[in-house]
Amino acid sequence: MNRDRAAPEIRTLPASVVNKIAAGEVIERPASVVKELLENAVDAGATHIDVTVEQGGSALVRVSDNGCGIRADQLPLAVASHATSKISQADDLFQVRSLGFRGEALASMAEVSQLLVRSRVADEPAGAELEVIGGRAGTVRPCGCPVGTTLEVRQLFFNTPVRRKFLRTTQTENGHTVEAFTRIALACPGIHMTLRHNDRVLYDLPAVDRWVERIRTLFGAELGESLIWVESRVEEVHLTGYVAEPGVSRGSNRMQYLLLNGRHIRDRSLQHALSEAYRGLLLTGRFPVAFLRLEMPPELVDVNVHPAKLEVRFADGRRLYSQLLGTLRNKFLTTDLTARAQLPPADDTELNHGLDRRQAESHRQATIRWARGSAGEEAASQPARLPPFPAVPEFRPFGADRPVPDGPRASTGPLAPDGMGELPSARADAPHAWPPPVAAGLQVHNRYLVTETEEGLVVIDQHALHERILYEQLRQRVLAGTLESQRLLVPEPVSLTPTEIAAALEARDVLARLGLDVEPFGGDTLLVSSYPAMLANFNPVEVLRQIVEQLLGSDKPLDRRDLVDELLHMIACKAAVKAGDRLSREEVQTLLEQRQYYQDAHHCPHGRPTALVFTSAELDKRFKRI
Amino acid sequence: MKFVCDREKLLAAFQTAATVAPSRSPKSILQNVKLVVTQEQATLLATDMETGIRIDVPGIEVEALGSAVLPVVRFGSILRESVDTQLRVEADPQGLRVRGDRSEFNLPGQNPDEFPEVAAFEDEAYHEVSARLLKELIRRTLFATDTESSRYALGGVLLEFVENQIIAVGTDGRRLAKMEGPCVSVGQVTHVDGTTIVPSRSMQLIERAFTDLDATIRIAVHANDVLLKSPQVTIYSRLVEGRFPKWRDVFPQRREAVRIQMAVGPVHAALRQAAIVANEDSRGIDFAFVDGSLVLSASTAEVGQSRVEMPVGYSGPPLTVSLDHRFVSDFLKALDPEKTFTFDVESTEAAALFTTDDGYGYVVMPLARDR
Ligand SMILES: Nc1ncnc2c1ncn2[C@@H]1O[C@H](COP(=O)(O)OP(=O)(O)O)[C@@H](O)[C@H]1O
Ligand SMILES: [Mg+2]
Repeated sequence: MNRDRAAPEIRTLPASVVNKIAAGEVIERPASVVKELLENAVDAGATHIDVTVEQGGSALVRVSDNGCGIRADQLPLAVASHATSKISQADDLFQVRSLGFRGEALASMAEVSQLLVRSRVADEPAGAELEVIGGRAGTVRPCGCPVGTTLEVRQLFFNTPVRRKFLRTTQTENGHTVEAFTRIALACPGIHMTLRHNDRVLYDLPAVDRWVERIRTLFGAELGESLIWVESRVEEVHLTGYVAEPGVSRGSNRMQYLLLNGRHIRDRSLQHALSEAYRGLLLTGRFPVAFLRLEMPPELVDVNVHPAKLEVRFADGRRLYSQLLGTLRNKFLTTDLTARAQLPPADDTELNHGLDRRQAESHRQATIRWARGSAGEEAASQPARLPPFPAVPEFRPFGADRPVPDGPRASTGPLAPDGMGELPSARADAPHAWPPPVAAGLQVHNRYLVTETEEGLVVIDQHALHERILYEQLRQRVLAGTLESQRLLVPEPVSLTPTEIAAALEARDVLARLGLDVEPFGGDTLLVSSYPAMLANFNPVEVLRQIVEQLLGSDKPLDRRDLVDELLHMIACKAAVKAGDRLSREEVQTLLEQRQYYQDAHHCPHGRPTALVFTSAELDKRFKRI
Repeated sequence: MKFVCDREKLLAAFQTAATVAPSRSPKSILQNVKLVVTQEQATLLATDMETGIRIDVPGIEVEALGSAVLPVVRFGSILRESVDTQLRVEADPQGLRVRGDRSEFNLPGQNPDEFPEVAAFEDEAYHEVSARLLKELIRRTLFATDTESSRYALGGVLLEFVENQIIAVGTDGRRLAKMEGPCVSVGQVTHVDGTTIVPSRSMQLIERAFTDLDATIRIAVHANDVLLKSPQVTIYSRLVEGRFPKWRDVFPQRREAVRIQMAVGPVHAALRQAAIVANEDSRGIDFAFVDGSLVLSASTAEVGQSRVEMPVGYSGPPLTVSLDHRFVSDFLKALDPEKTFTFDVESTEAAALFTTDDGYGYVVMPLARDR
């Protein structure tokens, strides 16, 4: 195209620019500094590490250890890029036993902060210090200090204002910092570790022998009580750790800690294995809690795929997946967790999974579109029209009028089944047909509904079904913008931690779209001034807390889609009838009329089943008729 | 104990007392009504330990003094099903016998001494209110209470006695109803600490049990309970513990707002029409004031739209406020259709205020939705 333009000249970038680019990859926020410095201290063989953080880490991060220290003459090298004592040749990359190995961390942070390193090795009478400001190193000077290393990083991103602007509130940054500390503390129960923020001691973790004790001090005795030990060895891969009973779960996967050879990692596939193991044990939208350690020879895993070393690549990921899933399943089968219903045979469910997944995906997409719209971003590229949705009939257990035809989702043709017609194929779309009346239902133990369908017998979880119905209705209303918000006469104060408040305020506009208005009220208090009108008996305190848990759980700044979806699930779950609620006959029938939620799909897309189907063929077989 | 009674009079009193007796209780004797016959009068007693009632029964001819425990369901059925004008009742440790002209019933007896004490009105200092006003106070505030609230003690009606005024307030945090009227203090009424919140259930009982509109009711307020007495009936109730919102702060004191006089009946009719398309999850009705008229409209996806117009004395820029139709309807239902009220609006976000000239005020917080 632009032929007449002169070809640009290609140049090698100056080292400082290279380092700034690299810094962006390794050092994203103060928490990254904490992580890298802690890893160095651990690699140095420290048994005691103190971390001090000011203003969420943007003013100061200081990590002091009693490890091996750095020789005075080596100090300039320590802060130079690609200088490391941990590997020396390429092959070593596949034999990594230390946490660090890239030799990049100190150089990167020195480039974008005011860094001071002070260190002394055991056989020297005195230590030495070196200051680097914005990548410019001073001279090594002797100083007095104990054996070990202290690294101080002040004014992170002081010379890259754009990055500095991207930092979030002190509370949010500190939340990330605490998380970085937690991950290392979890991996190193044998090291005494402390964390101070603005002169407040947040953690003082003594060295312990048993891992579970460290977990308990970090996450509380209550969680500690619920842990189940799991262990397995498949050839050279050793899996050990704890998973929480299904009664203890979280609204996000934040409480799933996976340590690979002492290094905290995230792995989607293993997280999925975890969810799979809990399938049917947790409610929709809830995530298991787990603390798992994988030990394997370093050559079976490539840790050099992610600048922050958070993700890794396994030589045989699939085998690991089945090891984890298998171990947990075996454990659950031999543990009395809860009465688990036998799911219908696999071949039967396969099909419905596909169906549901498609449906779930289309919902997800719509929600994403909505969430984007609410932020006002990409407004131009979004159609103004609302995404189309299958009509979901109203659910009104106490309303006078009965729902009429259920439209395009009507499940049978106009002919009443007489056991002779072509049954399954008759289930074509019959948009104007009135569905046949629903067979009478029976409530069992105030918990399950039993009814008859063409196929056979259905046992329905009343809570799961109602939750599902409400979720669909809510979602539609939110998408259509017709969710009513009722203002309160007296705003309700809710007290939260500063981190939680920051998170809630950042999500303020999303919350408002859901009808929940929050305002800061100074100190540790938020005011709730309105709430979704359809939830008359909604406890704002409890719900806000759960929302905040979800907010803090998301790794990305603020994933609107997940947040909205989680909120809808939560609201639906709260508003739905519970197991144990006695239902009137009319309520049972009204629930059963929503047959699309239990007939065509016997389970929720991402949770426990809504209904179990016992086909007549299956019943015949069990009664030995065929 | 032995007496002859006027069946219908005893039935009326018995049914009122029976509403207090719990239908299920670990203390099974509470599922009965106790009858005490003295020289002066016959009194029915019932309690669920939270509330208690004593009702004097007219039309009793005493033959032998004493007391008896009467099972709610069976004894009530006998009174109801019998066709006799008079019944003869006899009780002793052997049991309970009821005899009509051509019928006779034997029921097992229980020891009346095991029946718990039901508080009597013994205060020397109290407030006096007419039964008519008290019942009106209850009818106009009770519906706004919220027994589910965990935030405040909203499961009852707040009573305040200020300078010969009795004030009743009910709220569920979204709307608030307040009614006041005259009352008189008798004796040295001492001010009790804390709020007087009477449980909704007790308020309902009070509204129902005081049937004589012209009676004067005495009210004695204590720190933890309240007693009310008419010549025939005494009601005891524990109070609800907890905080009550500062209702005076919530009640708008505005001068700027637009105030429109309207008649109850026509507004209620228009509201019922507009609400035809509302449902559980879509409760908002837009009240739009435009020059000379009020337009009520609603719109619910999958259900439809409505628009109802009525002339009102409004002139000014258009002003719309969206309110839960049930909240407005609750207010209108509490009033005589012939009466008028004032609708006071300031903006879309500010609370709507409804008032009447007989001391009744009602605040409703608006709904918001982005359309
Ligand atoms: N706390 C410490 N104690 C001892 N040596 C340290 C410490 N921190 C850094 N070093 C030395 O500095 C080098 C560079 O550190 P770093 O930039 O983090 O790279 P890496 O950890 O990947 O080797 C390390 O290899 C190590 O020799
Ligand atoms: Mg390092």
